[in-house]
Amino acid sequence: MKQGTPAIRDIALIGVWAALTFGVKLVLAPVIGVELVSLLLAVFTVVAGFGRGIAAALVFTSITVLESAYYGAGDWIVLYYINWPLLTVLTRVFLKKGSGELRAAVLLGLFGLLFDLPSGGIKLVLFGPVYALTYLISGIPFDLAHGASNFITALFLFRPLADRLDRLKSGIWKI
Amino acid sequence: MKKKIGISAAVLAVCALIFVGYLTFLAPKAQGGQKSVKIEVVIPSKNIDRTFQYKTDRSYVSELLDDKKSDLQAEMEDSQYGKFISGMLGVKADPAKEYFHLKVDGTDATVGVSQLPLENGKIYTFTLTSL
Repeated sequence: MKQGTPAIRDIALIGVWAALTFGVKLVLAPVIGVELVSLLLAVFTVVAGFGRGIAAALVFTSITVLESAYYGAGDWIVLYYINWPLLTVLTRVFLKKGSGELRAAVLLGLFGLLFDLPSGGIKLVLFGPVYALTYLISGIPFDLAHGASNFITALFLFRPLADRLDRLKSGIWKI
Repeated sequence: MKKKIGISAAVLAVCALIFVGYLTFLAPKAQGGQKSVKIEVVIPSKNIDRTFQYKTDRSYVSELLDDKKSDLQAEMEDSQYGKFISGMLGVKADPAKEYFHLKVDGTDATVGVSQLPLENGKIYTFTLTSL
């Protein structure tokens, strides 16, 4: 099959990865605190590059925001637009293609653990310090589950996913 | 692989310890014994503002709502964050537009009904609110 121009390939690739990430998010939604969005966006950023990574994060977030038609809009939309692109920035800074799984696990584990911190900041501005603090404290069990599950999934899956994606990158995507 | 399993087990153990600390020192505590509480339901679009007074031994708001289903007609749905109220007094919230906002003595509740302890003398107000 004839390959498209690099720009068209990028657009398709980013869209497919964002859609894949969204699909995985939906599948895991019933499991409290467990998600593979962080891992998939981090792996994509490491292998495909920061520009494509942050674009995939923004497309994924925008697809997710469409869910607000069902779940209702809220300040979580702001949180998502902060957190997912921020993850790609952190990935760009702390992870390289050859980074070990432990490094990735620590980064993604801390990201999961502190996921709600920006939300606490939003609530501080909107509702004041008492509400923000009680919100953050009541979320501790979920943050612990999120951090632990991110750590473990990255520890086991970061390298295999990054290596396979890297092979696809040079073999099929030609980017 | 063994090393990864060991590290994972250590991380889980640390998280479990922090969770025990949270339950011991930070989590809202249920009050034992009988309590007298009020449940207020406000649905402005239907001009509904009703208050119900109950004496109960139950610990959490969701348990009282279950007990008093014939009065309150509370409909609860499970989510990954616990139960949330989808209907009261026969009025169902349209999830795209509205929700039941919960206040305790006029202050926003910071946890859901399944985690919110019943406390003697408190008023729990459910208001159908636009998003």
